[in-house]
Amino acid sequence: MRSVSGSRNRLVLVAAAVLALLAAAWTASATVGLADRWPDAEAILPHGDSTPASLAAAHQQWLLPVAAVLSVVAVLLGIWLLLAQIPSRVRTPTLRLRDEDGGLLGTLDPSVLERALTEHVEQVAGVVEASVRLSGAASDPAVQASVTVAEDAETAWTVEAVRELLADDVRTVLGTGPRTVDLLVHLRSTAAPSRAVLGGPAPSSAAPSPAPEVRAAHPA
Amino acid sequence: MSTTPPRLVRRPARSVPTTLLGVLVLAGGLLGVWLLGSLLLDGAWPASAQGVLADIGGRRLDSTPVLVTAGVLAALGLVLLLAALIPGRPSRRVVLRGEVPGTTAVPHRDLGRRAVRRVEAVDGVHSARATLTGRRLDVLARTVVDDSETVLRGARAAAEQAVDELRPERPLRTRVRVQRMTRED
Repeated sequence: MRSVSGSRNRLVLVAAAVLALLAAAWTASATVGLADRWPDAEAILPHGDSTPASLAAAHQQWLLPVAAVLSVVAVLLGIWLLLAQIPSRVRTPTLRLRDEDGGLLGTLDPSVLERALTEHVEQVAGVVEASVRLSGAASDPAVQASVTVAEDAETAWTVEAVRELLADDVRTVLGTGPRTVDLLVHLRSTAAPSRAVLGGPAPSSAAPSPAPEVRAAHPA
Repeated sequence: MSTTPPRLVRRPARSVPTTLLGVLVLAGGLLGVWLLGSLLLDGAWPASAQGVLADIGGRRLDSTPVLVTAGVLAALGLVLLLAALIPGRPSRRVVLRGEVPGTTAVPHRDLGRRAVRRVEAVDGVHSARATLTGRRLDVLARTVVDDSETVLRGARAAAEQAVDELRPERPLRTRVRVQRMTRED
C-alpha cells in the first residue's frame, strides 16, 4: 500500500516553523531595542536604525555567497518536498528461496506471488475485490492486503477466512509464515433498501443484478 | 529504508500544509536564484526588481512595514507548528482482531455507510445519516411513522448490530436519534 511519510512531514513543518519564528523574533527585536539592553548579543542582533541595505553592506563578504547557496538549496528542498507528497512504497526485493543449508533454491518475483494471492483471495465467499502486497524478505515476509467485502456477506467470517488463507498460502510458498497479515476492509454498500428486487438471483450470491426493480411501498 | 509496511491505522500525514510549504520554499528559492544570479552574473539587480529592492533596502528595521512582516512571519510559524503538532484523527479503525498476527482495519466512512444501510432497512425509517466522531457513532433516522418509539428501538438494534459485527478494538458507542418528518404530500 502506498503512503506518505507523516513523521517526515511533521519534522519538516516543525523545522520551518522554528525558522520562521526565529526570523520574526530577530526582526522584531530591532523595534524593541534588544541590542541596546543586552550588549553581549550586539553582534547578532539588529539595531532599530539599521536598514537591510546597511546590514547587507556590513556583511558583504559572506552574505552574497551564502544567500546564493541558500537559494539553490531552497529550490532543491522545495522540489524534494513536493515530490515527497506523492504516495510511494518501498519496492519489495526479489524473494530468494533457500534450503536448510542456505543453498539457493530459486528466486521469485514478489509480484507473481502477489497476483496469485490476489486471485486466491478473490475466491473467498463474500470478497468482491482484492489486492495483496508482499513486503519483507523470504525469511521474514509481511502481507498487506485490501479487500472489498460484499454487503450481504458475513464480514467477520470473510475477514478471518482471508487472513488465514493469506497466512497459509505464504507459509506454503515461502516456508515461513508471515510476520503480520494486515487487512484493510472496504465494506461495500450497494442496493438502496427502498428498492426491492423481484425475480432476481438468490440473494445469497454477491450483489444482486439490477433486474426488474419495483419501488417498495412507501410508508407515507 | 525499512521494508516494514506502514501501519493501516495512522494519523493524517499533513500532506496539505507540507505541499503549501514546499511551494512557498520553491518560490522563495527561485526568486533568490533569479535575483542573486543576475547580481553575480551581470553585477547588478534585475532591472524589473531594482525599484522594489531599493525600497526594501532603505527601510529602517523599526518601521511599521518591517514590523508587519515580522508579524506575518510569526503567524506563519505558529500555523506551521500547529499543523505539525495537532495530531488529527485517523480515518480508519482497527476491527475484528483474530488469531493471525496483524491488524484488520475498516475506514470510518464504510462503517458509517454500513450503519446507515442497516438502519434504513428498518421498517418505518425513511432515511438515515451517520457521523462517526472519535468514540461515538451518531445515527439520525428520519421517519414518517407516528409511533417513533418502535422505530427508535429497531434503528438502535440495527446500528448496534452493524457495529458489534465488526468488533471494534476501541469501543464504539452508538447513539441513535429519530426525527419525525412532517408530511408534505
